[in-house]
Amino acid sequence: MKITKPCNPFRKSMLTALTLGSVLASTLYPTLSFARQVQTNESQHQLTLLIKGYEQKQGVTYLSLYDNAEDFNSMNGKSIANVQHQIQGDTLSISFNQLSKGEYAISLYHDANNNRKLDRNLLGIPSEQYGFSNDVGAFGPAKFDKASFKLDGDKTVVINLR
Amino acid sequence: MSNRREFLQTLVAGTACGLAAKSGLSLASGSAMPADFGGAFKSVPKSFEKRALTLEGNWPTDLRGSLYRNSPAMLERNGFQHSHLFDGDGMIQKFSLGDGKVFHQAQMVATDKFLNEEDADRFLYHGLGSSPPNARAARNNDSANPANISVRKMGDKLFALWEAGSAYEIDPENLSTYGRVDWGEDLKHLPFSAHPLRDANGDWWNIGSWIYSGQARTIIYQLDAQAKLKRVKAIPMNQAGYMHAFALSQRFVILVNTAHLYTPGKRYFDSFNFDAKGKTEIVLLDKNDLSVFKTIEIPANFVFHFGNAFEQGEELFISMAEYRNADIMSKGLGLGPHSAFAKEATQYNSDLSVYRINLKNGKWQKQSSQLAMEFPNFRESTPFTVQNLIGMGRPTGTANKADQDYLISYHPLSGEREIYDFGNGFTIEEPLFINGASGQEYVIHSLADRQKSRSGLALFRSGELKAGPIAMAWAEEQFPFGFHGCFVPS
Ligand SMILES: [Fe+2]
Repeated sequence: MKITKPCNPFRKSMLTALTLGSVLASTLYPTLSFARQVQTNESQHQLTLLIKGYEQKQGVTYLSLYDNAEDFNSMNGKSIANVQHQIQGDTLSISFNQLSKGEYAISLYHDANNNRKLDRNLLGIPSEQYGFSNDVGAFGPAKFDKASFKLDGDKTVVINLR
Repeated sequence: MSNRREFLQTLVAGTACGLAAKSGLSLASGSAMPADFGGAFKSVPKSFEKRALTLEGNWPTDLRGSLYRNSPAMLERNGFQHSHLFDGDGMIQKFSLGDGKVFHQAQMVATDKFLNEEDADRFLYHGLGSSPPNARAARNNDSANPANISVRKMGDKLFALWEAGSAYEIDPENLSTYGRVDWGEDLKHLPFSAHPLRDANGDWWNIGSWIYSGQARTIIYQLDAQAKLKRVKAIPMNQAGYMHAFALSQRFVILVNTAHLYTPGKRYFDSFNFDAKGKTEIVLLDKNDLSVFKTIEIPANFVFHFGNAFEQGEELFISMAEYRNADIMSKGLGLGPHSAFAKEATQYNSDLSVYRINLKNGKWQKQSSQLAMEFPNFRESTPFTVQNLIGMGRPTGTANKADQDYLISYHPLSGEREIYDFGNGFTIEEPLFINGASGQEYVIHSLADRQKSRSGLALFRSGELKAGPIAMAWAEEQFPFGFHGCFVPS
């Protein structure tokens, strides 16, 4: 797996999609970025994510929020938001504000050894923890229709790491 | 019996497991597996203290060493009974031979699974064929690894082996568990089969069959004589067939990808379907670069175990204990009334078959032995020579004696055979060729006398099986039924 050095956080094009053609496509996250400001009159909602099931207490969680099937399924780096966060205790809580009504899906992994990638074994299967919204993805990368959920008000979504 | 019960209770401190007369899968029942088998196979003690066995016959003075065996022993916890033999947690048994004495001791393998379940006082994970209540999702292939199929010495290390996850290293002296073995950083939790094979140069080969998550790949491990990883490669397979073991010839690593196909399902065993109309593939991998030399299609079959393989000119000979279908795994090794251990269970008979493959054109012919022989073994020091195999089982024609096992020797080319019959009520376990210090070759195996509820050892002079055992050793109780093991001379 290639590793991309940290880069300008505001250049979306630098979000390199790293698909190894196997189980779980992963995305590199340069640094913290923010939810897109949506300039509409639609009601704005808060989404709170609770990430659970950490087996190791050190390392960084990399998380991406998507709002459409094409970008999610291809893991092309065009997520609408990326977060990287040190874990704090057993559960990590991340909130997004001002999201418009719609369908969303989450992918994330826990980089326990701080090497800025999702480690994989000989077969390309993740050896670090990962997760998707709706806790799908047991047998490979989840698709948007399985991982997506509807947001039409403030909502809390729990994701259990695999 | 009361002695035994007291003995066991002193060992099973406080678990009050209501010890039944049979320990583990004792095959103790003189009758067929009872329909209410659920009550019959309770916990075994978590260890057997070192005890001298009672000797019969003449134990040769030149024979010194340890016979290690692995048993799926712990089949019950806190009221839950596993329904498949493969789900019992591994227990390493050690028979120490020397100075005119035979001792036995045994210890559970302290896998992560075992330790977690000890703490929780219940089974936490789905077994291969059993589903305890409130089971946890497995985190990886070692979450539910019971290390219960074999115990092998490679280099100076002793390993308890499963097949779908890691090996565990065991102390050869006191049988305590050192821990899980990672062959490399990117090999953690990957399958490592229970049947490593020794090459003529002392190297070890093993496979790990990955058939999950929609991909079928077989990991080939090559270790040096000291069990250090030399090479590893994942080979794509044409189908996700069950592979328990493999074979090795002078030039090839030989995979037999059976027609028992995996597609992800709820429980492991529910995920397999035998494709009777499909095929089995014999895949010949060149040892030099692990490229596929040839893939030979044979009719759908099921195999656990192989004898040795050898090349003669342009021909390759492979012997295997072949089944017509996979019922032996899906039903026969279940602990229900349809078990292979029930009387008259001849539908599960294997047939020791020798495949003779032309390496130039891939054409093959098969020679059937008419022997329902299992646990075939050969001389590991001369793996690629033509030699007689030993195993246990019965001639396939003797349906009226279906509950009776024999010790068998079979020559793959001449078809010559030798059979020793202990009589009714004995369970014969895997026989091994072993050598005394003087070079004399023997055949040794553990066995159970079901009528007397006791386990022991039988020793034969190799080539003279018909003459019966020259020596035996008996415990006062019955030990759990075991799969595979090894003899380590001292
Ligand atoms: Fe086996």
